[in-house]
Order: sequence, then C-alpha cells, then structure tokens
Amino acid sequence: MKVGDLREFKTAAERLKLVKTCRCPSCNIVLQESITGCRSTHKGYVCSDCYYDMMGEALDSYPIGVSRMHRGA
Amino acid sequence: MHTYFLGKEQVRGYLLDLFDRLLRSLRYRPPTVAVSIGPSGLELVNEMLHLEPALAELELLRGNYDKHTKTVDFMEGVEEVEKSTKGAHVLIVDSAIHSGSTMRKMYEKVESFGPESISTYGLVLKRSSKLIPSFFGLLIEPHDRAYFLLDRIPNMRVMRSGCLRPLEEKDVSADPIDCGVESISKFDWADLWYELQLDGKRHTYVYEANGRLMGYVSFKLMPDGSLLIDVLAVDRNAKGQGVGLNLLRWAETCGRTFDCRRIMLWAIVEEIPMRMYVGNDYQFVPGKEMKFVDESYMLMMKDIVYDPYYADLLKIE
Repeated sequence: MKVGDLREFKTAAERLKLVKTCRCPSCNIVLQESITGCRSTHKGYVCSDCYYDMMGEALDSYPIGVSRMHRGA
Repeated sequence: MHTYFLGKEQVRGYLLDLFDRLLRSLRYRPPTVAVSIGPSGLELVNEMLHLEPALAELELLRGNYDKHTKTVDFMEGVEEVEKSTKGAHVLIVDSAIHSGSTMRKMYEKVESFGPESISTYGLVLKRSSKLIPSFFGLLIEPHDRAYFLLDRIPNMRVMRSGCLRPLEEKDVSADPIDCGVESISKFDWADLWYELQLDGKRHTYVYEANGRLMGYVSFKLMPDGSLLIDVLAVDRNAKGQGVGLNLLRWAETCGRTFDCRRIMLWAIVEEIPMRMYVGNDYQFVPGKEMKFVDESYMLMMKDIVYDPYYADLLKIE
C-alpha cells in the first residue's frame, strides 16, 4: 500500500487492523512496551498486569526471605 | 526515573525537522519506501502523512517483530517486501527504541533484500539501546519512559484496594502476621521497626486492609545498583487477596525509581515452586546458596533495565 492510503483509516482502532500485533496470551491486550508492559514468562510475553497476577498467586503462599537475627538474640 | 510527555506539537516539531532533512537537504537521500514497525510505528507514519503530503506516494511496508517467535514478518509478505525494497532508499520507522533489538532485527532483515540505502528513525531512543538510529528525537535514560500520540496515558497500577504505606512506629504494637514459615513469622513488627532505624538504605512497606496489617515487604538499595527484596510475607488468612502481588509490584516500581539495575531476592528452596521465579524472568545466581538446619535459600535476580552491564559502562564516574 502507499502511505497516502492511510487516509482511509480515520481512527487508531482502524489502523491497528492494518498491522500484526503481539498480544498477551492471558488477557489478549496488544503488548506495547511503555503502555502495557511486556514481561517474559513461561507462558511467553505477557502484560505487566497479568505478570503480577501470576506472581501474586504463588507469593501469597510462598514468602520471600532469609532467617535473620531477632532482637536480643 | 523520569517520565516524558510529548504533546502533538512537539512530535510535529521533530517530524517537520526530519522531513526538512530527508526531503529538502542535499545531505540526505529522500526515501522511496517506508517500513513501519508495529502499531506505534504505523501511528507515527500516519502522523508524518498529515504533516508532509509529499510522503503519500511512498510505498508503505508494515513490519512487525514477533517477540514470541523472535521473527520479523510483514503484512505484505516477504516476497513483496523484497521486490519493493531492492535498490530502494528505505526509511524504517519506529516510535520508541528501547533495547534496540526490534529495530536491529528489522534493519538486518531489510538489508538482506538489497536496498540502495537504509535510514532509521525513532522518535524516542533509550541511551542503552543496541542500535543507534540515523535520526532520533528524544534521548532518554534506561529507566525513563516517554508517552506521545496517546489519547489515554497509562497510570501506574499497584493494587486494586487497601492501603500500602511505609511501616510506622505505631505498627510495633500491631498483631504479628503468620505467613506459614516460622523463621519469617517470628520476626515481628518491632523487629522490622528496629531494623529500619539502623539501616538508612532500607525501606519497609505494609499492606493494611480492614484495620489489619496483612503483609509487608522490606527491601534495600545495594551498593552495586541492585534492589534486594529482603522479605515479602503475607498473612495466611489473607491469601488469594492479591496482597503479595501488590507488595512485589511496589518493590519493583521503587527499584525503577531508584535507578536500580536489577532485583535480587532469596527464595526458600523447600517452599517455592521454582518455576514461579525461573519462569518469570528470575535467574539463579550461581554459587549463592545458604543452608540452615531445615531450610535452604537460593539467591535469584532479575534485570530491570535492558543490558544492565552496558548501562553500567555508560555511566562514567
């Protein structure tokens, strides 16, 4: 197509259909680095919201930490 | 970490300058083919069209870099792209160049088709990028963000509800939490407050809801530019309520704000499903393991800037 043909596509949503997009496999949002985040996981690249949802499920059950000195010990 | 906002007038200012150089200066060759990268590259080309009608006759090829398959492809198909770019003066356009890997892959792909010349343009460029384009508008640091040509600007999203706040002295008398791991649960609010007073580089945040403290995260800034998450614990009665993810998200956001290169944490081997960290961008740090009587810990890390070692090299002290 010519650059001038873009005039037929008045909105960003219409223009979005003109290109291939990378989508989050969890929520299907179009992945854009600065806007949605793009995080590498075992499910592939996901948006930041889905990334933290995945991490959060396990974090609630498995704390992070190292034994340390208690006061007075 | 700095956030830049480019309004329409500023974007147009950069683009008008680009056209003057590309189309009207004897120093540069005008392009005959434009390759846009992804949705944001296409939006920038669309903006260019409104400012410079002379671009209307340029051949437009719509490229994309698929992160999942790590391949470059085009809506027009490779054969059509090869035909269009062979012997042409090509301009590759992307709106923001972060790591540089997408622009680099696209450049190498187009180069393989035998164009006469290739110019590259990014409206925004991160200083640690692995490809410096022919032209760029705004140069930003590795942790910075830039927003432009958006009707809606994304807010930072930390949590859905509840209160996340720094640990305060009044919390010393609050009910302790039981996270299910005895060695962590026995460390109470008074211990955390005491630790905070001793270490100026430490930050401790608590998650509070319905008048109860339900979890906390404690992290510190390390001399090597990393952020170490010392402890992140959620009360057993608060599981499934998103407390853990709120705390982790805030800790990682702070890491970016403090210009940290990476996040480090000690994972309890016996408790943790390893794939949770390994599958989510965390890697083991070789040789860093601690064993106690009935618990083992492994140090894990995740980079939060592209190429942290390169970013370090660029900082000359």
